[in-house]
Order: sequence, then C-alpha cells, then structure tokens
Amino acid sequence: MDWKALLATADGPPELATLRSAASAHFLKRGLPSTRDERWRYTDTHFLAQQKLKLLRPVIKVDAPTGVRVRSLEEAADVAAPLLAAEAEMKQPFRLLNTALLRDGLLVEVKDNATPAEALQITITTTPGLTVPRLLIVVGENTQLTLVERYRTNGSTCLPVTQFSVGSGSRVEHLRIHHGSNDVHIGCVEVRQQRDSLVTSHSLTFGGRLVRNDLQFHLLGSGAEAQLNGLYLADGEQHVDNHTTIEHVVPHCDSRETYRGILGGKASAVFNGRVHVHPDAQRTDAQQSNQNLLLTDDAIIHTKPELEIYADDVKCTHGATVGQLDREALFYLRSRGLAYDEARRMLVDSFAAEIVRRISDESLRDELAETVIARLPEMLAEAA
Amino acid sequence: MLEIRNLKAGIDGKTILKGIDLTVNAGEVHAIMGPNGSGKSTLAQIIAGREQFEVSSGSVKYDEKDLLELAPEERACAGIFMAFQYPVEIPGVSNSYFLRSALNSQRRARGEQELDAFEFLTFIQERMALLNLHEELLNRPVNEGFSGGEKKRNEIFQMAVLEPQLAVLDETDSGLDIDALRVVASGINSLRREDNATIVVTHYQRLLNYVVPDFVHVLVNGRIVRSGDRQLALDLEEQGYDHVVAQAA
Repeated sequence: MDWKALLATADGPPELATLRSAASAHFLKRGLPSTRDERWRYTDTHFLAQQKLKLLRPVIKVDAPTGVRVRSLEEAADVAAPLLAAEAEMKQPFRLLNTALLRDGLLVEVKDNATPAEALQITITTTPGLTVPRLLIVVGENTQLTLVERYRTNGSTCLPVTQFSVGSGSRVEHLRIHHGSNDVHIGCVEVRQQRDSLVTSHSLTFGGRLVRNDLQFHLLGSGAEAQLNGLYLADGEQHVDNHTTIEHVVPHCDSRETYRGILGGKASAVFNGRVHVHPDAQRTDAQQSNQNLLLTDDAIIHTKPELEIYADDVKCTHGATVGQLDREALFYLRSRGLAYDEARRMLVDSFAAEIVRRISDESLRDELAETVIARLPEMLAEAA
Repeated sequence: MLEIRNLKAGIDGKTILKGIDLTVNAGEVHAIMGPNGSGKSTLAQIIAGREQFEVSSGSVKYDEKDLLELAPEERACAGIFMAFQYPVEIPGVSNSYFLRSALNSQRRARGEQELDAFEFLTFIQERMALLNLHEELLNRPVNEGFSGGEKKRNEIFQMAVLEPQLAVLDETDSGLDIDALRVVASGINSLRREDNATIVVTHYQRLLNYVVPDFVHVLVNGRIVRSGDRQLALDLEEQGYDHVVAQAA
C-alpha cells in the first residue's frame, strides 16, 4: 500500500485543504500502529499495508426530523473548519488518515432548546475500497437528540469518525450499529460534554473481519453523565476490539459503562476500558463492567480495565467476567421441556438483552432484539 | 408408572446409589427420606435427567419407556417434573416467557395446539391463585432476586402450569417457614389426581404432615433400608435416623 500516493489523491472542500495536508504529513510520520503499542497489542492492522486500497465515496443516507439541521461537509466547510482545528494533531493513526482524506460527511446541528421528536437516522453504505466518512454533531444547550448511526458494509475498509459536542443540560442518545461480515471497520467516536448533559451511547457490533471502535468521552462540565453500553457478537475468524476512554476532567461527573460480548467459532475480541480521573475531578462516580460469554473453546477475549485516578474523593469500580453458558441454567430450562437448542438460544439471548433493553426507544429496541435473535442460530450451530 | 430396578449410579467415579428398587404407581405419593449425603437428591436428579451422573447398572422404566435413554426435555415432555432443591436464577428471561415457552414446547411434543399470549395468561392466572403468587412475579426474571420461599413456591407454580404425570419434589420444604410450607403443601395437594404420582424427597417429616404419603422409604448410604407407611416417617422424626437404621441392620 502506497499511502503517499493514496493521500495525494485526496480531494475535497478547499477550506479544509490545509487541515488535510497537515494530517497527511502527521499520518505519514506515524504510520500504521504497531502491536508493540499497548492500544493495538491484540489488533494487528498491518495487513492493510499489503492491500491496494482505492479511495471511494460512501453513500450517506439521512433521515432527519424537524429541529435538526443536516448539511454535507462540502456545503458547510466554513462552519466545520474551526470544529476540526485540532484534528491534525490527533495521535490515533486512523483518525488522522480520515482527516487527511476528509471530504464526505455531515454537519449536524441542533439548536438550543429544540425538541426534535424523532430520531436522526444516518445510514452509511460502503463497497469494497476505502471510505472515510466524518460526522460532526453539534448539540446546543437544553435540547435533545437521538442519533442512529448505521453501517452497511460489504467487504469494505471504512475508517469513520464521529464527533459530538454536547451543550449544557442536553440529552443525547447515540446508537452505533455495525453489521458486517468480511469488512474492516476502524472507527472513532469522540464526545465532549458540558455541564449537566447526559449522553447514552449504545455501541452494537454484530460482526466483521476486523472491527475496532475507539470511544473517547470528555466530561468537561460538572454534573455531566456518560452511559456507555456495548454489545459485540463475533464468530468464525472475526475480531472485534472495543477501546473506550472516559476523561473525568471536572468534579461531580458520573460514568456508567457496561459492555457485553458473545463470541463463537475462533472469534477474538478485546475490551479495554480506561477511566481517567483528573486531579480536579473530585466526587467522580465511575462504574465499569465487561462480561463475556464464550460459546466455544477456541474463542478468545482480552479484557482489561484501566483506572487512572489522580483525585482522592472518588468512587470507581470495575469488573470483568469471562464465562460459558451456565450448565445449571441449561439443565433447568431443559428439565421444563425446552429443547437443547431453544434453551441455549434463550440463555444467550437473555445475556444480550441486558444491553439491548437499555435503548430507550421501543421500536429501536425491538429492532435490535430481532437483530440479535437473527444472528444467534448461526453462532450457536457453529458452537454446537 | 415408574419402575426402578437395581439402580447403581454415581458422579466422578464415586458410587452414590448402590442398588435402588422403587415402584411408583399412578395415584400414589411416595416419600423418600434419609440423612444428608444418602443419595436422595442424586436419585431425584437422575430421574430428571441430569447428565453429570453416570448410571453404571440397573434400569429405570417410565410408562414402559427406558427413561435413561431420554434427554431431559424429552422426559419433561413425557410428563416428568422435578422441583429443584436449588432453583436456578436466569437473569434476563421473564418468568412468563419462560413458562409459556416450556408449556408450548411440551404441548407441541404431545401434538397439542400451542397457547397464545392471551390464552396462556388466562390459564396461569388461575394457577397463580393456587400458590398465592402475585402477578408481578410473572414479569420478573426467573428466580432472580426471589427469596428462598418465593423460589420454592415458583417451582410448585411451574408444576401447576405444566401438570406433570410424575412430580419429583427435591427438598421442596427446606428453607420454608411454616406459612409458606402450608401454601406449598396445599398447592401440591390440589394437583393430586388419580392419574398422577408424586415423589417427595425430604430430610424432615414436617412436610409429610401436610402432604400425606402412601409409602415412605428410608434411603441410607445409597440403599433403601426400610419401606413402610406414613408411620415410618413419624418414627424417624421421633427416634432419629440412627435408630431406625440400626433396627434395619
């Protein structure tokens, strides 16, 4: 892969040209991450260097409710440019690559006190090749937004970046749904929260050749709360890596993180949850849990909580579990007449339901519950 | 209905049952009593089909079928029910969803029409009244956060819904206070019919004051050392296992 040649093909709004070339230079200096880097220890991306990726434009479909303004980045480049000012300095290699090739994406704005009744639905469809969509979501004060971000992929390599800026007193619910099988998806989500805001994130991954989700939350105003829910299902030779960071910068912020994984076949997964409590962030209340269900002996999970605490008056807990289907529970269900397969499906489904039930919108919740159910027979058959 | 002949079984290479003979006919209530570690629960679990136990010899026939050949769910569909000594908590699965799936699974196996959500609700409301259970229990996850007494009542409630032909109650009385014991016992009694049978596995005789057995068997060290009528249970209560076992020897 000749990155230099690829980067030379970058094209897009002239207002972002300086940013693109700065990010480009920075990316070429850093290169792809090494597995010696702790953050990439279990996720090797060097096979990308062997590929000949062609830059393509993703198809972005938008269904926006009233009260939410959506413009393409090309159309709103002048507004987007200052929001992206720090991007060339970012250290995440794939985020830099996204910036270096920045062209396709959306600027979403929700005005102060607006009350959009419906969810904003964004569906990004990709085909084999490289795509780098970017979503900039600017949520004003005392307002609300539900964003459903869906990825429909087909053998593609997609490096999306989604950035939120959430004003004081606002509530945001973000569903990020990835349903792939043979694709590469390395995505970044950055959320910056002001005072008394609440952001609930549901990161739902149903498979992919290599999926990496990097979530960064910055709690910048007192009373801000972040809820990070995650569900990942993988089988075959799939690999799913969830890295999350929560920056508790100021006092009196809460974070709740609950990730669950179901792994079959020879799938592997990574969960790394970092909670960073800055010296000023007294009265931080951070809870983290990661639970994994392994359906086969060959499935692998690397789970690691990372608490970095520089304040003394804080409450931080974390816990991780790795287990197999509960034999007692399986026998209990079968002893009541449920067939072996049905009993297994019920137990695995209930494990996933603990995350799905956290989605507040009923129709979205039902949809995701169906998605889980549709995914299970194949995973369980493989594990039988 | 159930015929156990010279059953020897164990777990992890250790023999627990050393030759059990037991015949249970329709309409009968049998009590199996014995000290801790005598093999009572093992016997109950082998009837229900727990796979961890290995049967080394003997036979178990149920309605002329070889019970040991059947998977746990096939036994359930054939009418066998075990009330667990330690009911399992299943987070995320509601009691009503679980029970409806189980009931419909059994009905399908018997070639009967499945019940839809409305029919099911009507049916179980009547059954809940039997056990003094509140409706909110239906929406709670199976056994999760239930008190010991609630779990045991929930077992008998499941039995009331599934209407087994042969019920095996494994230490259903343990951990129940006297009021809960009465409720559970009257639930069991109201389900007794001419065409079904019950095996009550218990350490104490107090449940047998309410659920009156036709036969009492004393199981010690993997063998039935004495069988008798209700009086045997009362003797055990009065004189203790040691005495009764010594007499049998």
